[in-house]
Amino acid sequence: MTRIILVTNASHDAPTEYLDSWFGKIVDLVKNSKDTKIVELNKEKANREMLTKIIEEENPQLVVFNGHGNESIITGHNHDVLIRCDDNEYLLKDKIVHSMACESAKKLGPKCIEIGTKSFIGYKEKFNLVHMNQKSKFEQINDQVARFFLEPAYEAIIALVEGSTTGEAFDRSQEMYKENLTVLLTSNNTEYNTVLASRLFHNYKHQICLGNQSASFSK
Amino acid sequence: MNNNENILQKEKELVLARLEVLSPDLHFSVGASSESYSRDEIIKQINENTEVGLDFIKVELEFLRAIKDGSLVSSLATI
Repeated sequence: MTRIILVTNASHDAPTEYLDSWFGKIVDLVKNSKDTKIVELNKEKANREMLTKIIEEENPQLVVFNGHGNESIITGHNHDVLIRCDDNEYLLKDKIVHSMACESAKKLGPKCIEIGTKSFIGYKEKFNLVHMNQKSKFEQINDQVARFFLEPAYEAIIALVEGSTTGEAFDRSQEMYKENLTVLLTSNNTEYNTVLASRLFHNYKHQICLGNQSASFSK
Repeated sequence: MNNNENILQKEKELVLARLEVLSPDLHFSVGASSESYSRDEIIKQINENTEVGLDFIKVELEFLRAIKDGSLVSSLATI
């Protein structure tokens, strides 16, 4: 049996394009893992119909949302609603969820845990991303400002793929947030003003891991 | 001008001063907005008291208060 990750990449504006580009690092990691399959719903395919179909057909153990949202919804391409609280969160039952959608861990996350989602890693408040507004995937991956924000966020997913429990994955992500905060606060590089640190501190403070901290991305 | 407005004005000036020394090439993406705002666009949002501008001030103040009350240093000390 193979482990399956389902990821939705909304990829329709600068912040979601950055998320998509940086998720490529995880795709590369998974390529080296013989027991893991990744199903990507990119751009137009990041819609509710496709999400429902893939979850029902493939039964992924880990679902990753790279898109927008608010406390009650997670959206895909062009803000198409993928998951809505009190509507179709049942799709996430028995799964581990990693959501970059802003505020989705405030109301939707707890509701998912209530109906049987194993664990939900996400953000209770708006996710902040500072970047150099690069356009190509290559430039975005090499954006040294965006790196401070996206590396710690995705560290949790990398840890899950490597076999950590959700609690351990969350801790690894939090540690990387702290390391990056320390760099920003102590750097002699004037580009790394503490305004960047304030944005990063916000993400660090409002990231949360709900549900079973011992859950792991296993077959 | 009442006390709250006075404090808000001072807070706004503090955040603007911090922003003005940043590189103009930096862009900020916040929340569900598809917009990415340059430094100068964020300054404009703050000056016009938009939701984006007020949110920006809120996050800055959250950080500055964490420095003041020691919670930022406490967090980093556990590395």
